[in-house]
Amino acid sequence: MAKKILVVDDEQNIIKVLQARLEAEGYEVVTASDGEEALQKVGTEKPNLIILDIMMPKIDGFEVCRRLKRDETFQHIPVVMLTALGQAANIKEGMEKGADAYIAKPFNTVALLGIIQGLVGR
Amino acid sequence: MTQDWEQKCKGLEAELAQAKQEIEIGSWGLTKTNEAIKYLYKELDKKNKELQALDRLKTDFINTVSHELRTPLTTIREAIAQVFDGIHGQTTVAQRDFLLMCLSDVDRLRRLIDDLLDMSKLEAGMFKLARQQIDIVALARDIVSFFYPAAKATNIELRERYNATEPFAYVDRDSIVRIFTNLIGNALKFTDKGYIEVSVIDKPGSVECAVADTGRGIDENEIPRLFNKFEQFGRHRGTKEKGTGLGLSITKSIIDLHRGKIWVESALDKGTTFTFTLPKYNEQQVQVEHLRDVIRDAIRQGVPLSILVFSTGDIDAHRRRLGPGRAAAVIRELAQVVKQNLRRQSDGVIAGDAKFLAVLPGTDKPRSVNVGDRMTQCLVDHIAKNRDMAGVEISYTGVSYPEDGQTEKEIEEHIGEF
Amino acid sequence: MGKKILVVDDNEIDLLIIRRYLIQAGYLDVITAGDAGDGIQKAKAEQPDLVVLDTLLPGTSGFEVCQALRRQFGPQHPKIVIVTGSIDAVDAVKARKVGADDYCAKTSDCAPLLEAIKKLM
Repeated sequence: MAKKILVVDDEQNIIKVLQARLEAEGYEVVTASDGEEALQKVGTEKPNLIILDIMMPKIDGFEVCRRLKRDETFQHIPVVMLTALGQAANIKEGMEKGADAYIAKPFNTVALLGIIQGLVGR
Repeated sequence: MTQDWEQKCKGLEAELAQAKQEIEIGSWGLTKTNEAIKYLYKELDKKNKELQALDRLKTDFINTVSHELRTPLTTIREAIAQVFDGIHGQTTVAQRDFLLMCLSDVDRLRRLIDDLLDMSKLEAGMFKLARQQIDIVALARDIVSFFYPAAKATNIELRERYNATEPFAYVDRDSIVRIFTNLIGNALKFTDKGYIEVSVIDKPGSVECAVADTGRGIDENEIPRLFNKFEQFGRHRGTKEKGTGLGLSITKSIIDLHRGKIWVESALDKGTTFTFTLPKYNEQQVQVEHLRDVIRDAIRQGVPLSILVFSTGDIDAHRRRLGPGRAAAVIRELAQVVKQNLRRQSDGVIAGDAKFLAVLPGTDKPRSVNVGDRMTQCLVDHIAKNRDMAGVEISYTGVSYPEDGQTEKEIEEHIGEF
Repeated sequence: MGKKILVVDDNEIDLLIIRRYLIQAGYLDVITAGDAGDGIQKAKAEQPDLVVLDTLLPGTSGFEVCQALRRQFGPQHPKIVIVTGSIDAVDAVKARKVGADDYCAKTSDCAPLLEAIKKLM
């Protein structure tokens, strides 16, 4: 069965290109445009992996990650944080909040796919 | 006779009145000056706060710009890559050719943005170094192996020469990776045949690294400007990727931040050698550097910082009585006592030769006095339980930002030797 | 308040700042001059209640202008305040000796100057 990936980003274009790329690789993709929607969809869609942008309005990526990792039902789902900031401090914070991997924008597609494969397989 | 006296008296009275007036005027002058100085202090304080606010604006600006520039680039790059990869339908050879050109320029734009942002951070004093003791030889080996395929493809020999027995330097790993990558990458770009040699050598107090090539060399007239921003040198021939013109400038700034040196030797068609040094610090020097970073951060962020300098009384007498080894161990032990009793996670201690410090970021002067008194009590209690520490008398002085100094230099001077 | 103030300073920006703060404080009648000659001329023509003099003026000093004004108008009127960007106790004494009523620092919010003027008017 195809692995399901939840992509969370407030930029519609990013969602669109990520979705196209992941579907071409054989993954099933569901999307959310902000932190609240993301938390909702994790419950309803039960994805195998979550790609999470950091800078989002209302609840930011760090907060979403923190909440997911504290919830017994969802803490096993690997989280890949996506950021345009790329500073060491952000990476550290991401890891402290429980992210499983971290990739900076603009990302190297091969690297991102490699990370996803490593975390959930094809 | 009496007339004489009267004259004299009148004269003296006049002189006295004059002197009194002079004093009164002088007094007035001093009062005015004092008043003015108080106003000027307030002014200074206000300007300082404005500068700090501007500094914070700069940080926010750089972060925002970073995000705003990188996000559309992500979309552009990924969308083009997907069309190129055929995900959205078949493409012709000609189309792929042009798409590849787009990809290459998007990557160039990304490198330029990265460099510009690094340059801004360096200039704004916001480039944070995460320093540790790193094995430079191991690091160099890793990076060189990354370049093997590229070197093989162009028939250039990659040589390595490591004769450092103590290759550890106190550096920010990512920065040094970047510098080696930069220099080796450049060497590959400008060398058509021959070899590139990467070396790491021990020097007293530092590790000396070099990247030497047998390439086209640099005109001696261009050497003085080499580390300036946006200079691209006359080596425009060749279709290899264009640099941003900022690489060497950033490299030099990073080396400066590490308190190292960098220089170049080169001549046209005679090859080029870039050499840079990285300081070696022993554990105590590392602590001093860390202390300097803490002070610098506090001043830059405008957040209070207090440092308590604890002394143990007559250190020479202790050394005579216990021997220098045990005396030093006592200082370390007392520093540990303080460390265990400090409440905030960000508080730290540094054990020196004769004294030890408690470093309290975010603690203002009044509170630091409370902490100091409390620590003194803990130390006194500890000393009472250890017979060989009899005779050790604890006292401390507090050095706080901003009350005791407004610059790194002033604070360091107040702390003095320890 | 109906009082007229003359400000003599060769730095245009400082003039603007002082003028703005004076008007904000309610002294609506403010005249300015950029050098000693202009200052003395305007003092004669406008008969201000108070004169503010910068210590540094082209070719001369606030102290000399103060002396000239005292020679012209006498010791009581107009009130004279000498201001400076570089406070000095020796200058303070000099200010008093040439007949100034006060001597204070120039700051970006003109607080000391406004204090001094308030006391004199």
